[in-house]
Order: sequence, then structure tokens, then C-alpha cells
Amino acid sequence: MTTDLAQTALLRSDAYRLLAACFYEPEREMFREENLCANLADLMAKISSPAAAEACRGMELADNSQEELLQEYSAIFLGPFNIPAQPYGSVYLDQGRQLMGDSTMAVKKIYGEAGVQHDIEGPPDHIAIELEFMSFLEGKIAQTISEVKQADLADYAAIRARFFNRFLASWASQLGQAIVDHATMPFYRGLGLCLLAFIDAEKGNIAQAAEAAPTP
Amino acid sequence: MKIKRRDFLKLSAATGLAAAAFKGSTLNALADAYRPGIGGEKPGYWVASTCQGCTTWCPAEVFVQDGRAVKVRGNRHSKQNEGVLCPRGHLSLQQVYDPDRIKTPMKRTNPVKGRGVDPKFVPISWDEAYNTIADKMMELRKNNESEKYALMRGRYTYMRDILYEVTTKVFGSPNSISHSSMCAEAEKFGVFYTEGKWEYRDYDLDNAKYILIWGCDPVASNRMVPAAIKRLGNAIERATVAAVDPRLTTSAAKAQEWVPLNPGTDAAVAGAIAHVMLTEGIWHKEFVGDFKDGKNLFKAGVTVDEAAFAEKESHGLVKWWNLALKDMTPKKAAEIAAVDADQLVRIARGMAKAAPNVCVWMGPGCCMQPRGAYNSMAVHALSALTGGVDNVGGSLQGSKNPTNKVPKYDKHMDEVAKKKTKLKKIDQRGYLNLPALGGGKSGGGVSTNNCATGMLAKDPYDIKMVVGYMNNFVFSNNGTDKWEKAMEAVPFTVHLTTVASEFSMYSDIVLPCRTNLFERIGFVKTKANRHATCTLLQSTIEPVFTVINEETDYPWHIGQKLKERGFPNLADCLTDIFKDPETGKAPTSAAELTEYALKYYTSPFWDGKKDVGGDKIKGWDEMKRRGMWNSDAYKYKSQWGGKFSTVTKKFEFYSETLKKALTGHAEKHKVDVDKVMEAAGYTARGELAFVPHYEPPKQNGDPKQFPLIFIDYKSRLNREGRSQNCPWYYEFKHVDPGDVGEQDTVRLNPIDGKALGLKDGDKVKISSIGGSIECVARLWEGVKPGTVSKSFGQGHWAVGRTASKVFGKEARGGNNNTIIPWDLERLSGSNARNGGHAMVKIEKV
Repeated sequence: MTTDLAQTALLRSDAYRLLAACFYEPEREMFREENLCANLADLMAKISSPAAAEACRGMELADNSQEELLQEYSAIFLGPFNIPAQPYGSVYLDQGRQLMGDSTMAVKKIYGEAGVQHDIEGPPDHIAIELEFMSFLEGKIAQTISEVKQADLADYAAIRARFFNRFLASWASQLGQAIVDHATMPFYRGLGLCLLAFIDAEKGNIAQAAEAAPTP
Repeated sequence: MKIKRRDFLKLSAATGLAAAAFKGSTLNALADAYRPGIGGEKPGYWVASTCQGCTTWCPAEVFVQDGRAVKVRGNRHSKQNEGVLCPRGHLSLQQVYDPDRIKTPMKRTNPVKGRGVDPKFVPISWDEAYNTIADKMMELRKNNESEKYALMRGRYTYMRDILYEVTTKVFGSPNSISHSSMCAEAEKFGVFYTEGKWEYRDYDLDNAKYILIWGCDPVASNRMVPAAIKRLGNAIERATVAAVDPRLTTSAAKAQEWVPLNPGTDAAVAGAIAHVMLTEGIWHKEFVGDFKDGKNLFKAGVTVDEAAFAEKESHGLVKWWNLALKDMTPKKAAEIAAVDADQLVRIARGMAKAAPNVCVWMGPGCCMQPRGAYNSMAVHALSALTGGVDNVGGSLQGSKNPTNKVPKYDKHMDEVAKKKTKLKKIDQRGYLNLPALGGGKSGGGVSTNNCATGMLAKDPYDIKMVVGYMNNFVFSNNGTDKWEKAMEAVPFTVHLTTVASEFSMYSDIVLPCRTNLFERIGFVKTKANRHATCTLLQSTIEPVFTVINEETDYPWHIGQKLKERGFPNLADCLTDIFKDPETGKAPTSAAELTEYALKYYTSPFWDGKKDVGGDKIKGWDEMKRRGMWNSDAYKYKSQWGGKFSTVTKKFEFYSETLKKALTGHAEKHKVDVDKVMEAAGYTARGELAFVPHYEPPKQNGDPKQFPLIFIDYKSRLNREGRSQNCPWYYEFKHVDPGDVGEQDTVRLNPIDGKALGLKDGDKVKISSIGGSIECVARLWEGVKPGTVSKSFGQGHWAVGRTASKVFGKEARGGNNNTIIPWDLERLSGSNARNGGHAMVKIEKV
């Protein structure tokens, strides 16, 4: 049972990580060589997010060139003009739609609580980093389960619930919808749908986990 | 944002639980850190820098907490703003953290350029960006056409020399194009050709007894905003304040006198005020002089013998009277300008009574017009008639601001560079129809807006490469359609900026730059309240993304890339001329070049080698900590006693200095001055060209078809042209009198509104011969009937999400420069954006 739980946490860690990877600048050949979309679809299916799995199966890279993918990525997430799907949490959560808002600082603080800091250019509440943080927490949860460290497990589970509910889940669906609304290529349209479905499923999963988890 | 490691894409669960769990998570953006637990907030600290939201250039301080800028204020050491900023400074927090900022170098992938055409920018590395740019530059050098490179400068710091001048010249192009003539060169024209200083003035508000504000709103703009905000309230209790402006400005609303003249008729009104002072014998005799026998011979319509007058600090009063004033009675001016003649008499007498403590505050509204040069002379001449020039309570020149000058670098210019930099510039300055008499020379000043003419006509040659920095000429010059066409035709354009804009739409590479006040490094020189100031721009925070100082980092990197390609001159030059003044060490990186250059330029204030007066600063560390230097207070009457820098060394009502400049320009083209005046669009002939005089304002558009006169003004929330992507800009737009929050407003007098069947809130189309825009009508008594006014700023179609409605297609509001037709004030080279030359019609949509 413990092994199953740990294995599930690892699968969830992978799912979050691979989903995070999709929000970086696209690298078509590497994504294809690593079977990114198929692996993500499998993971989503395994962790009981069938809608997300279905969305991932639509994330086709074959029909678009590297340049086309980059153009779409820029048009959706990077600009330099209008950016329809801002990838930063504070744009949604803080007044005045700015970067480095109070919510950004709160996110940074939670990373610190969990023992990590962001180590890449840009604000720490980028969707890719927040997803990676969830991946990190799931990894820690897998580890604490397998090492039977109940206090640590409770600690990481509590951070996960707090981070997911207060931050990631409170804006990621808006981002997902914005991607769906503006994407023209299968990869990004599928990514938007996947994010929407996955966050939706996770709202239930994490609430369930919180109920089952020992008190920290 | 790139994936740093391929492992990030690999499955860990599949490798088995034990192996996966215990090796730890595969991280890309995160790294292990010490777990500090939950603690309190870190204490913050203030860092000195400079606000460049307008050209006040306020010394400022930024409060930084946990690496984030959270608050701003004026620099507590500043003797010009005394520790306070205007709303622009506070608005800047939404600029530095604007999510639409450029975050990485980007290149265009769609070769087709044009309005509404998506450039399809994609991210590239800095290396690819610099390599591409250097390749293009080398191609120009190889083809012996380095002159076809143009640098277009927008908002700068004084580190500008490195990119604007040294880089351009060492590379071999004459085309360093500044934006100065978009601001107010016509304003400087009036001052230069009367008192010999091509500069903006300082104003001694604390001691003024009469303040005549003309064509601007000092509490909203015009170079000493916080000082004016602080002082104008007190001044109104102590002094008479009169505002001459067709729109009710904030200052006009508080003033005792508001003179809503017809746009462009300023010289008639100023002339009438002068006429009253002269006919009533109430001019300031200590400055101007008097009739030899003490009997006033100035009578309306009567010519006076010059020999009867004994001049003191001024020159040519009688000539001015005979040529332009004797017939300019208040009644005549009232007819021309549609003002109250009695009010002009009252103002003239009030000024005379307050003399010499009279402050004539002249702004661009009175002179940035096709025939505005003489307006600025006429308005400024009132300073002299009242003795307020360079005097207590008047308009002042500035104290010395002794920064170091750009080091000599000509030895790094090869033969090609020496030859090419002597070629004509793309703005056609100095052509017969464009005297641009900056500093007294034919072609001595820039004519920014005429670059578009030169580029389209390929005269003197075609432009193949443009580097623009902190500018948006496609949007901010009147006659935007002309600029759009000109930029479409440029094969390769680089835009160095903080936020992409309309200029970026025509660019091939955009590079993210540092935001002033928070990130940009440099220094500026400014003056207000009798004190000259040198104030540093410092990096107060670690920028969120990799961004560059365009004036230093960019030339450094380009220099290195050119060196790799066999052209070492620029790199060697920068290494050679900007050594650390303390250690003598040559720069080995862009950061060192920036630091050493900043130290070099500002060292007179802190190196202790020479007493430059003002604040005593002990060393570079203290200079950085304080962020600024104040001069001693300006000494009144510094120019009196024959020290004005004019031909006669006096204040010139009859401008021998202008006569010399115009004659020089005419001789260059082998014509007479009358021909020059004709080519420059002026009506004056003969001697009238050398004195301030009234010229009928030029109107673009048939009044029958376009019956209303359009007035452009600057919002007090415009941080140059870059604040329209800030939500606060719209939320607080009502701070501009007559404007309404969250909308782009055209203000009409209720009389005109009724005639047009319009009411508040109606969506309207404004059309001129230049084009059409849409905005929202507001009926308001603060605009003169027959005129409409609208603030410049909105109407972006290619900025971020807040500033533009639909990227590339639909603007939010309307750009005034679309309906203000392309035109120039040709004697100074200025953009013609005021003075009512844009005739418009307004229709409900």
C-alpha cells in the first residue's frame, strides 16, 4: 500500500514535471525524441485524469516546424506586444496585473519553506516553475512515504495543499482557457486543454489527499 | 525561458521507486536552498536614482524590499524637488513590473513590414542578436555605405555620447538623430535669438510677483513639475498668475487671469502686451533703457527715431517697435486672437507694476507651430521688457553643471569614418527650406520629423539600417502615416526598448533594455529652483530579466562583435577612452565600461580635485549613496552687463544673432533672406524677419470642411510615451482637467457640442487631412469655442494588453499624431504639433 502510494506520488511528480516542460520555449526535436506528449498522456491516464490524457493525445508536434512552434509560443506567452496568456501568477492574482506582486513574494516564500529557490531568469511564479514545484513536492511526498517519515510527509502534503489551493489552482485555469482561446496549433491548444482538465482534476485529488493526510 | 537539462523530460517513475525517490527530483527552474522556515519581512532600504518620466529628471529614491521596488520618493538631498515626486514617479512602479515588457531578445520572422502585419517575433539568444546586427553593419562597411546607418535616439541619459555619438561616428555615419526637435526646439529658438542661450530656462517662482504662464502647464509638465506643484499655491497668494492658453490648464484654473487665445496667435497677444508697456511708458528702464530726453515717444501707429533712445542691457527696442509693435494695439490683437483687449492692458500694467520680479514661463504650446519661431521670441521678449530676464523672480539661465565632456576619440575614426561623417544627414537639416538654425548655424539643429522625408525621398541617400533606442518615432511624431511608410522601407531595424511599441512593429530585432529609475545606469543634468543638479540613474534592483543599458552595454557588445569581424575601431576606442578615473584600469566588460564611464563623467563632483561649488561629496561611494549633486544657487544678473551670448552681447529685441544666422543660411544657398523665409513657410519679408512679430497661423485643412481647431496637450500621467500600458494611467486619467477616467476624451466647448448635436459620452470620430481617430466626447467649458483639445498618449495599436485594444489592428483611443498632419517649424527644425495647424471635424459614430 505504501509502495503504491509512493509510486502514485512519483507518477504525479512526473506528470507535473512534464507538463511544466511544455511551458518552456519549444524544442521540437527534443520533445519528439523524448516522447514528451505521449509520456504526458500516459501519466495523465495513470493518475486518473482522463480528460487531461485525452487533451495530451491531441498535442501533436509533427505538423509544425520549430519556427512555427516558436512563433506560436511567442504569440501566446512572450509577446513582445500583446501577451494573451500571461504565464505569471501575479498577473492574475495581484491588483494592477503586474509582475513581482505580493503573490509572487508569497510564492517565493513557500518555495523557501519547502527548501528550494528558483534558479532561472524571471519571476518565480511562472507557470512552469509552479508546476515544477508541485513536481518537487510530489517527489518529496513519495520519498517520505517510502521512508515512513510521517511528520515530513504531513509537512510536504500541507505545503502542497496550501500552495495548490492558494496559488496555482487559483489562476492556472484562467491561463489554460486563455491558451485554448488563442492557440492555433495542436500542441498549444492541447496544452491549454490539458492544463484546464488537469487542474480541475487536481482540485478534487488534492482536497481528497488533504482529508486523508495526517495532521502536520 | 529554456529547458536547461534534457533529464527534465525523462520519466523517473519508470526507473523504479527506490532509484527515483532517493536521487531526488529532477529540477530545472528550482534549486535546493536552505530552509529558513517562516520568518518576518526583510528590512528595506532606499536607493538613490532618477525619475525620467518627464524632462524634469527628478532626483529620486526607490525603496527596495526583498529585492523588489515597492515605493518611490524624491531624493531627500534635492534642492529642486525637496524630496517629493509628481504622480509620474509613482506610476513608474507599474512600468518596471509591467508583464508586457520585452523579456528576451527577439527577431522578426515575417519579412513583410507594415501596419497590421504581425512581425512574428521569436526569441533568440543575445549572441545571435549581436551577431546579426554586427553582420549587417559589416555589410554596410564592406559596401562603402556606412552613412546609410542611422541611430535614432529617444529618451536618453548623458551616457548617450557612447551610443549616439561615438559609436555612430567611429562606425562612419553622420546620422546621429536625436528626438530634441520633437520636444521644444522652437522654444529654445526664441530664447537663443534674444538672449543667446539654446536652452530651457529655470524660473524663480519663490520670488516672482507676477507669473505669466504661456502655452504650458507647469504643474503638469515643462521641466520642474514637483517644484511648481509645491510653489504655485503659495505664489497665487503672493503674486498675480496669468495663464495664456486656449485650454483651461490646471494652472489656468487657479490663476487670476486666463487668456484663451486663438491657437497660433501668441505673437499678436505678446505684441499687444508689449505695445501697452511701451505706449504707457512702463517698461523696465533699468534693463531696457529710456529715451534720451525722458519723453516717451511710443505712440500707437507712430514710427520712432532710433537715435532718440539710449539702450542699456537690450538691443533694438525701437526697431522692434517700428517693425512689429506700433500697430499691434490691444484692440488689433483682440481681433486676431479673439481675446479681451482690456485684459491685455490689465496684464501689461500688472506685469509692469511687479517688474522686475516677473516670471514669463514660456512653453511649447506657443511655438511648436509651423510659424511658431517668432512667437517664442515675442513671448520671451516680455521677460526683457519687464526686466525679469536673469533677475530675481524671473526667468533664469542655469548654474554651471561641470561634468566631464566626452573624451577625444577621433584617432579611432578611420579614413572612411572621417569622410562619411561629413556627409549630409538624413533629416535634411540645413537645406534651403529647412534652416534648422540650432545654435545660430544653418543646419545646426536636428529636424527629427523630417527624417521621414529624407528616408522616403532617399535624399541625400537611402537608409539601410536604423537603430532606435527608447524612441517610438512612428507614434510620437505628427504625421504617423509618413513614418509608417518610411520605416516600412528600411531593410534592417533594431529597436532597443523596454516595451515593444509601434516602432518595434517595423523592427527586425528588438532588445530588452533597462527601465529608468529602477534599472538603467547613467546620469543626467538638470536645473530648477536656481540649482543645477547632476543626478545618477542607478540599478536599484536586480532586473527580473536580462536587460541592457542600451547606451553602454549595447555599444560594448557590438564593438566586440565588430572586432571579431575585422573592425576593431569601436571596441578599441571604448577601451581606450573610458578608463576608471580612480585606478586607470581599462574596461574588460560592458559592466565595467558602464561603471567607468559614469565615474569619468561625474568625477568633478566627487574626486576632490577641484572645487566646483555646491555640495561637497567625498568620493565615489558617497556619490552613489547620495545619488546627486546640487550646485550653488544661480547668481542673478549673471548675464547683465554685456554678458549675453548674442552678437551684441545684449538682449536682442532686434536679433542681430538671427540676422547673422539667416543671412549665413541664405548665402550658403546663394539666395536672399526673403527667399529663405518663403521656403520656410513664413510670411515676413525684409527686416521683419529679425524681430519678434505676428505671423498668421498656418492651418492644414480647409476650415469649411474642417471647422474646428485641434489642440494637443500632454497628460500629467504621460511618462514620456511609455505609461499607457499601466492600468493606473486610465484609472487616474481624470487628473487632467476635463478628462474622464478610463477613456480617451476629446473636450469640446458646450456651444460647439450643442451645434454638433453631441453630448457627454458620445463616441466620436475626429478627422483631419492627416487621418481619423475615434474617442469619446466631453462637453466642457475649459476649451475655447471653435477649438477642441485632447491629450496625447493613447491610441496605441501595438503596445501591450492595456495600451492596445486588439494587437496590430485596433487602438485603444486615438493617437493625436494621426490627425495632426505632418509639418515642421522650419527655422528651428521642430515638429509642428501645437498652434492649431490641425483643422478637424467631429462626427458622432
